[in-house]
Amino acid sequence: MAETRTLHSVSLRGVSLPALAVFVAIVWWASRNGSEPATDAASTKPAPASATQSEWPQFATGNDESDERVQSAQNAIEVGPEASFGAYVDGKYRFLLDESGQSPEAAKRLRAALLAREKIAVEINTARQSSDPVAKEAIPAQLATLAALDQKIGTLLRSGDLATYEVLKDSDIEQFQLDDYAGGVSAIAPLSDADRRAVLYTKLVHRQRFRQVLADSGLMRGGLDAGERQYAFAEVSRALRESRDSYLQEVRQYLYNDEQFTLLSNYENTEYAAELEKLRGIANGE
Amino acid sequence: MTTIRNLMIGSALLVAATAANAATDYPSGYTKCAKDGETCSFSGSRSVAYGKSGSFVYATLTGPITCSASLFPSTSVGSPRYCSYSGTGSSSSSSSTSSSSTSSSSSTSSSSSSSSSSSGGGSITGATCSSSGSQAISATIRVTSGTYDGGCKTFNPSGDLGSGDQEEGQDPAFRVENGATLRNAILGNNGVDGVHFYNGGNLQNFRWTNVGEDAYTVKSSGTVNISGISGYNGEDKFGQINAASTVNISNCIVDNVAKFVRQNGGTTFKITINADRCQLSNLKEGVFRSDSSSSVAKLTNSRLHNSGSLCIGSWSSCTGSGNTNY
Repeated sequence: MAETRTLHSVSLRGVSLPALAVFVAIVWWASRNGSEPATDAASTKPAPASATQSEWPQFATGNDESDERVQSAQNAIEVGPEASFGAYVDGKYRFLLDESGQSPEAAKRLRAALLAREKIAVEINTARQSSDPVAKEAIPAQLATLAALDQKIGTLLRSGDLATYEVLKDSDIEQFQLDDYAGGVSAIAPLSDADRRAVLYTKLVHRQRFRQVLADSGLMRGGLDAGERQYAFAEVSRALRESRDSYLQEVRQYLYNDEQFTLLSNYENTEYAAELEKLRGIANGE
Repeated sequence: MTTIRNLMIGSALLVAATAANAATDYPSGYTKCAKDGETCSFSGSRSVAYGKSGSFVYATLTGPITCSASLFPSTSVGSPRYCSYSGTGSSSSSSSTSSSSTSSSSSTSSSSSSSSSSSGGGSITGATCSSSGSQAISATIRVTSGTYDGGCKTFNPSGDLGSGDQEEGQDPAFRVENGATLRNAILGNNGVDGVHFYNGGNLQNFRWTNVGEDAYTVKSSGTVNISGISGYNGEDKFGQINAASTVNISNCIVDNVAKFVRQNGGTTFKITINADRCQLSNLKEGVFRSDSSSSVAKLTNSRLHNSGSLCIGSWSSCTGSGNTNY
């Protein structure tokens, strides 16, 4: 019982402040006029703390490798698979890039940094799925480079966009699910871009706590005995359920079309059940 | 003039040969994305093929990835090798690795699973939905991309959709197009013309309470993946194939129809049917029927009861293995 309180309270402490910050940022972000032209946005908003005036030499937080990666991304000619990758990155960060309100030069630097960041993320993802032990050994260094790139990107963003970036950078799965759901209803009850943005951000915010509980539980890292895994699973499954419920409850107000919401609920409930089964399998040592 | 003409013909042949060769660097239904060392950009978890010239090994991977031999079973195919990914993805949430799980707050275990074949396993359950309510539909529901999740509702066609009898030309309840997915639905007593597929698609966890004209029809070419289905009581065929296509069926329960799959009568195009882990009972004629000497059918790991002939008509190959009678 004491263990339960400890994990729960640690999780809450670890999540509540970042979640609050993210929520405030998203409320601010959502309150902006989405159709505002970028040039107007740039001219009417106060000077950003760092982003639009940043120059590469100002980077004091990175390392040589991350600098080189960003420079390489900025100079790269995107053809073939690189063009596809560029489109993937543009899609992933479209809600950030579309409304960055930055000068063309600053926007170009930001995009180059995002490309470099996603490139190293792909390398990590590949290494984790690889059977090559050498590739796996490189993961810690790659994670360090990733962290350095995240810091760099932070200096390129307007302060209000940082929280948006924080949720978007780990949103591949949620964006895949949003596209999947939106595609499925596109011939019946299509979502506007504003609908999609609202659904995505609401989901990402509510997934934050689940992710934190999952990380704190140690369930995915291995090394827990059978009893610990079951205990962790109980905590994680509760967080997953609460994440889904609170997300659907909040997103209801953004979807005026009942069919959109019903189909979203159907979709999310299926994904929830599948995710719960995977977690149960891990907890059972399968 | 002749020289120029010959050069043009030669160039055309070279282009055609190059195109033909390129076409073999990825399996049918896959999208070529990268060669060794390049980034293959796809989202979600998908079947990824690796190889060239018609020889491939496969793995289920979460994208995007760097195309690399270490992600796949070993292969002796020479370099350069290419990665290509299937059209259907899944989100594979918390147990997956993707760039979204590179932060310390996310999961770290790998979802990589490698295999060199696609044979299925597990029990035969058919569709698993219990009805969560009903929904009347007066027009075909079109699923043109992504996933439509019916939430295990029972869909009851009415009005212009048809009566559900054997009359040809009725509209379908659902139309699945371009690789989209329809999942978790029950078609009520009025089965009308079931589900139509255009340019490939996916059907998961679907039940026909009372098969009408046909349970499903493949209307145009593509790859159709059907899994976790149950269908009952059709006077004629369960599946109708009207275009050159590949149909993969797994985990199905079908009872009391005339034929399990029928290639459109008199047509000679090639269809490929792979049915695995199906329970087929009370088929008035048989399992597979075709008039095309180029078509291929295979039934594996299935249970049969009063199912008639396995293969009716003309086939290039029609086989069964691992099947039992009960």
